[in-house]
Amino acid sequence: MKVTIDRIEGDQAVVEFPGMTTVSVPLSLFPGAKEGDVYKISKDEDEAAERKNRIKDKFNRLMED
Amino acid sequence: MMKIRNKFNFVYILVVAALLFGCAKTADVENTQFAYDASVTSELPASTTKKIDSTEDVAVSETPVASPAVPFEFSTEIAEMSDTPENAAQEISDVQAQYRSITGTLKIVYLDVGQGDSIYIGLPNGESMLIDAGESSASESIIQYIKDNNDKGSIDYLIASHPHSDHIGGMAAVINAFEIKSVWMPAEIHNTKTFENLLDTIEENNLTIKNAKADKVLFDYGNLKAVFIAPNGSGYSNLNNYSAVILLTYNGHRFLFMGDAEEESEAEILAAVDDISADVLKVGHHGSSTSSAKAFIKAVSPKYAVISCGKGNSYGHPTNQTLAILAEFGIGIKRTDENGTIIFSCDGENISCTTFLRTEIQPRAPTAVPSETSETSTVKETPAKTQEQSITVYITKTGEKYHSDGCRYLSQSKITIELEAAKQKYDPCSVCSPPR
Repeated sequence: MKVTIDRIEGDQAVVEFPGMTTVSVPLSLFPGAKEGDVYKISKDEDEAAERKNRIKDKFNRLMED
Repeated sequence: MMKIRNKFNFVYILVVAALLFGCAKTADVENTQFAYDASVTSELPASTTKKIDSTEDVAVSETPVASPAVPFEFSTEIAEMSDTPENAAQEISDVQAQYRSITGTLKIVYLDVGQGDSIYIGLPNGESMLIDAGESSASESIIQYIKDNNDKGSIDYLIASHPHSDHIGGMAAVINAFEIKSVWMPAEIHNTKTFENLLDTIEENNLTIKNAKADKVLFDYGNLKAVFIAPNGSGYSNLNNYSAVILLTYNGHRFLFMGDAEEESEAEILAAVDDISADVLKVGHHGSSTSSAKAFIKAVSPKYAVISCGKGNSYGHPTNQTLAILAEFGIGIKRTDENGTIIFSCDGENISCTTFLRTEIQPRAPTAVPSETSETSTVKETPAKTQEQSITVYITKTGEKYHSDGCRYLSQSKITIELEAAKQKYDPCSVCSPPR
C-alpha cells in the first residue's frame, strides 16, 4: 500500500490513504516527511516471525510452569 | 467606504454622458479611464474592453457575450443622457468608481464543512462562484447547499485555491454535479490521488484550467469585480503559499479570500497591492499562526474576519496568536466551528451577517419556519437565537454623533460603522434618530 503526504500541519502529517481518505498522524511516524512524499507501507513477514520466536523464547525462559 | 447619495446619481450620469460623447472621437486612452483599475485593464474580458473602447458599440447596444445585461444597461443610460455640463471632468473618477451598473444582493456563504474551506458566492448579476470544496466527506452537503440555492444548476467560476485535500477534496463531486463554466487554480501540482482524480474529472467533463495568479481578472463588471492578488511568485516550499487569493469588490465593498496563504504570500501581497483593505477577510489557513501576520492584518483592517475550521480540530486552528492579533485591531470574528455556516450579504449599500448552526439531524423538516426554507437542508439553520444581524450606521470624520443613511450631516463625510461599535464612542444624532 502506498500513502501520500497531503500536507504537514504543525507536528502532524496529513496522510492520504488509498480511496482518497485523509488521516492525521503524528509527524514522528514519517520523520522528515514533506508534502507530496509517497510512502510504501508493506508487511514484513520475516521480521514478524523473527520477533515471534525471540519473544516466545524469552517468555518461556521466564515462565514458571 | 463609498456610499452614493441617490440624489447625485442623476448628475453623475449626466457627467458620464457628457464625457463619453465629448470624447467619442478621441483617443482610446481617454476612454480606457472607464476601466476600473488601470493596472488590470489589459486583462479585462474582451467583451468588456470592447464596450469601453468605443461609444459606438455602446450606442448600438450590442450585447456582449461574456458579460450580459450589465454593460447593456450602462450603455442604454448613457445613450439617453446627452446633455453636456462643461466643468465636469474632475468628477469623472468619482463617477467611474461610484456608478452602479449592477444592482442586487451579493451573498457570500462560508459553508461549515468542518476542517476545510468552501465558500459559495451568489453574485448580484445572477452568476455564481465556488471557492474550494472542503474534504471529500463534505461534498454532499456542499452540493446540496448549491442545489438549494442556485436555480441554474451551474457554477460560473470554480476556484481551487490550492491542491490540499481540505480545499479540493469535494471538488470532483461538485464538477460532476453541476455545469461548470470555468475552473481556476494556481499552476502547481500535488502528488495525491485526490488531486489526480480532480484533474481526471476536469478532463472527463471537457473542461480546461485557467491559471489563477496575481493580476488575473476573474471578472470585471465595473462595480462588481474579482481579481486574483496571489500567488505572486513560484518555487514556494509550501503549497499553502500557492493559494489563489481573491479580492472581490461590489460598490466599493471589499471581500478578501486568502485560501491558505501564509506570511510569505501575505508579504508579497503587501508589496504588490496598494490598497489591501477589506470589509470582510476570510482568514488564511484556518486561523493558523503560519498566516495573518500583524502587518498584514493591520493593512487589511477588516470589520469582520471569518475563520473556516472544524470544531475540535487536531491542529489547534485557530491559534490564540491569530485570535489575539484580530482582537488587537478590534476585528469582529466569525468562526464556522462556533457559528456554523456564515453568510455575509451586501445589497450594494450595507453589509449584514447571518449565521446558521448545523443541526444534529438534517431533516427537510415540515415544521421548518417557512421563511427559512429557501436557505437549505443539509446546512440547516437553527432557530432565531443563533441569527444575528449587524446594523450599519454612519459617522463623520470629525463629528461626535452617529447617523442614519441620508442624514444631512453626512454630506461632507460618511464613514460606515457597525451600530454596536458606534454606540461605544458616539451618541445618536438628534436629527436623523438612528437605531440605538
